[in-house]
Amino acid sequence: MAELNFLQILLISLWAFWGIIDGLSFNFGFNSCIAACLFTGIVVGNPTYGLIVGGTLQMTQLGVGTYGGASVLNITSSGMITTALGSLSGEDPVTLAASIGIALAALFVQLDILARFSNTVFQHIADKYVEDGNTKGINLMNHLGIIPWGLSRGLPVFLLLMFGQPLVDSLMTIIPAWLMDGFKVAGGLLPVVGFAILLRYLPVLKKPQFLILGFVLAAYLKIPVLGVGLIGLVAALITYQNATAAPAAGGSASTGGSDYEE
Amino acid sequence: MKNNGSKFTAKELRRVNLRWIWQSQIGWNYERMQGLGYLSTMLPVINRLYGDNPELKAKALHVHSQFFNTQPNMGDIIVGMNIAIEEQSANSAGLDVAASIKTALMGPFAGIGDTIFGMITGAVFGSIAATMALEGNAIGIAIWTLWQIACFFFRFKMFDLGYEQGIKLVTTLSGKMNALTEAAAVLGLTVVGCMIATMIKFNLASINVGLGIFEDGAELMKEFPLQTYADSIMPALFPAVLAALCYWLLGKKWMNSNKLIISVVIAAILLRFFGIVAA
Repeated sequence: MAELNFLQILLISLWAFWGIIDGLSFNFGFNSCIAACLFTGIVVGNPTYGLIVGGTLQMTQLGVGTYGGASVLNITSSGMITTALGSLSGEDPVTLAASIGIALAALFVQLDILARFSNTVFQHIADKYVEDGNTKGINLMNHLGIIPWGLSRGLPVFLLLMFGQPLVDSLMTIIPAWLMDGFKVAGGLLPVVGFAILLRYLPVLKKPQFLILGFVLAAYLKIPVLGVGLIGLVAALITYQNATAAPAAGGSASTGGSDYEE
Repeated sequence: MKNNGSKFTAKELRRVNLRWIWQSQIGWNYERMQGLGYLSTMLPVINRLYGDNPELKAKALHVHSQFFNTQPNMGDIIVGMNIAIEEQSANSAGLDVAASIKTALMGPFAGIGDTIFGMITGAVFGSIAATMALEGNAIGIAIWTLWQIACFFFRFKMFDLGYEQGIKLVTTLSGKMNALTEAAAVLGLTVVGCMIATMIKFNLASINVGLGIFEDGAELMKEFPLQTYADSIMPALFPAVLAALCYWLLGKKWMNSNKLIISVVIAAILLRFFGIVAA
């Protein structure tokens, strides 16, 4: 069986480390599960495998975010590990993502909490610098937060890629075929969770017509997702124009300034 | 950027903007959340405005080290406004106004920002990217990444908006922001409706039932293609029912998204084990 070399492991771990920092700051997409899995797939020589693992996991977390500092399933780190170890052992990517991928993502939530907690130490030191008026020290304390944040992603990826392969291989031989079949079915079903979470955030009871519209366009008329998205955009533009054209309800003189959109 | 009478050059302002983008969350912690990032962002402003007045500088450091948390993109507007306020009245009263504006805006702005930049775009671009990725196609994730890069550059515009308009922006913006949130929700709902119909893979198996009639010692079996029956009622019937079920479950106090994921995995294993769904 093929094995990862150290350079591959280092590259993937560094991406994981930088990914969370990027996600917290510039947000250029390094922390996106699919991009991270695709990168891992390229590094291990199987980009398609990475895309499928990433796509399966992303489906469970559509529109889910760390709102108000909540911790969410870390599908990015777990997806990278699943891609790297899974493509080597040749298991079905959907099955692995629904089993090991989800399990690791749930486990890694604890590391996210640990990182957010560790940074309170730097906060307390910064508070002392506030008293002293030491602005350089404050700046440094804020930057030290990079270490817990980055390690909470980079370290588990590094360790599992270094030592996790035998674990995955033996798990795969222990788990019976019927259970693997079940995980595969689960992989196909899991997107429903992502959609349900989203619907909880959307005004589904106030505007059910648009949900039905999207469903009918796809289920009956077989229009692909990008096409439905464009029709949704039309509906959104009409909604926006109607809402801004009738400011009487808001009662303020906000019609004059159109300097916001250009 | 409008800059007359300003104590900062356009370049300096942009640098503070970039400080917020880079630093707002790298020191995130449970105690003050983005508070340390906000303070760190404001350090050059504090040094410039109160550098020769130790008393005011001390007050400014305290004011900006308070608890703060909002959606980072929306934070650009708040930081912009904050600088404008303190620049106009670089005194103790100005700091008090800045402190209350920060606190008053972070919550509502987080709500708007999370909806637009988090949920809706995450859902729309995420589902397109995931759908394509499952087919081995990387174009979807490329589109999403391009969107994120566009959002990054839009942050400069949001900062300028906050700086130039100051507090009066709150009144001009509130109507538009609500409209934008509402429009984004419409787009989100439409796409989710489409995704429910196409992305949930749930095919019922055909089950064989014995008829109790024996011929040549073997029982005659009749095959019931369950999926064909379901399709004749409505395409994507079970995905729709499942989505409604999960939506309802998530409304329960004892349920959360992680528990729901585990439940779905267990349900899938059981359904497969008893031969109700096709592999």
